[in-house]
Amino acid sequence: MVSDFYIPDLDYHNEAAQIDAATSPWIEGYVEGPYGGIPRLRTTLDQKDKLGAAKVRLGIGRDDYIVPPGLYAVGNPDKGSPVLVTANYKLTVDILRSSLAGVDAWVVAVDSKGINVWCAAGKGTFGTYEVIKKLKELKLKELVSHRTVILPQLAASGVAAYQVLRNSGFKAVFGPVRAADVREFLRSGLKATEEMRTVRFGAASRLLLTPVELVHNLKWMLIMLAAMIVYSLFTTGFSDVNTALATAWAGYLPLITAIITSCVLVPLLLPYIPFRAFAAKGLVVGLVLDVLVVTFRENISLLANSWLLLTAYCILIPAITTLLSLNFTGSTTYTSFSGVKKETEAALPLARIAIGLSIALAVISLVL
Amino acid sequence: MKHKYIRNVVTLKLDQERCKGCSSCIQVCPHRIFVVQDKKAHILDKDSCIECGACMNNCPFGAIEVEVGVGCAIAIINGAKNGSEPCC
Repeated sequence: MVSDFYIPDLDYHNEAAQIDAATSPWIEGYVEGPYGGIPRLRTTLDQKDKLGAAKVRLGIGRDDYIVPPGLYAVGNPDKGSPVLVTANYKLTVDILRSSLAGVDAWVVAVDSKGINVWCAAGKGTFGTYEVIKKLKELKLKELVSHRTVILPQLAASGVAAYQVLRNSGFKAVFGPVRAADVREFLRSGLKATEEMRTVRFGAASRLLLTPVELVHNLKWMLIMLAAMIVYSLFTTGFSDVNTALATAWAGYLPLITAIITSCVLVPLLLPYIPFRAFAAKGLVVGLVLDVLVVTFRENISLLANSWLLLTAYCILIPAITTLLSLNFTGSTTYTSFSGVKKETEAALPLARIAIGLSIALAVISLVL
Repeated sequence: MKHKYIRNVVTLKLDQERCKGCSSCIQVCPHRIFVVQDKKAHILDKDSCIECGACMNNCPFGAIEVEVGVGCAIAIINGAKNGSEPCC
């Protein structure tokens, strides 16, 4: 059978070997390979690694958090040691190496363009071709005497194990979903339990995703604040700026609450909010906020004085929570393309109309 | 608490004629929706499928078909805007 993935034998090429251990604290010296030094991954994380992780969790420098692709060592591996394949996103490599204390293994980082395993597999940068190419380029057959490589299970949407075997001679075994289980997987003779094979999305993972949601919406928070200040200046007049700012701030609170609720509370309470569709979950939360806004309208002078503006808020707030909740679909582990497409097509036009209508009402309330 | 997503939308199809019961799909599925009984794979919980395509990609017999895509609204909106494949 002719294969789509045929790659001829390649000359040895290991970008990782060019790393200078002196300036890269995550590298702990080198081990000798048949074609020269192979950098050894440190199995502990230092302050800089933790700071880097915190930054990318906030969405800072996420696209440039990369390690050179190629071959690495962990511990003191030899010809019989297992080969673990991973992505070249630094956060991924950090999670893997910090799970491998006391393990002797080889690590092959494919060139996933600095993207994590699951997303890269979906996008095709962590794919069958790239894996086979790396195994050939690193002359793996001369490094180890066995013919097995271990792939992260979540690479399976990009990597076809039977194709890797056919074209590289290496049996590709899918390991556990989480790096934390790799050690147990190795110890048990490459047996993954159901637990190891299942993707979870617990409260801790959901919490970890909230900072980046907030950062991504900073722009909208500022635009809304600016809009509120302008609105208040027109309402209270330009002579008393302090009053205008205080009025704006009070009027801004329901809006910023809608954004923060959608970015933090919706992810955290996700399975407990009624309905399956994220847009519907967001709508529920928005309507609850509407009830609060109507209840406390006397405390917000802009709303106390204008039924039109109050109506605008009650339309805008559910639109915000619906859109931002829908936005969170991409961060979860359990949404399908068909499902998200269905709810996006249903909710997006309505949310757009709602936003347009609320802006129109707000402008009319200024004129009247 | 198990997360549940929208019902009856998933495009996953399994052709049992072609299936040889090799269990590759069972291995790779991140939501454990397959079982093999009597040397054939069966879909147990279709609504939990996220259409990641891992099973189709790893089926040596071409027995699985699914419209693969990311379950991400931004990607779908961007795709529609640019007239391209869904992309983040």
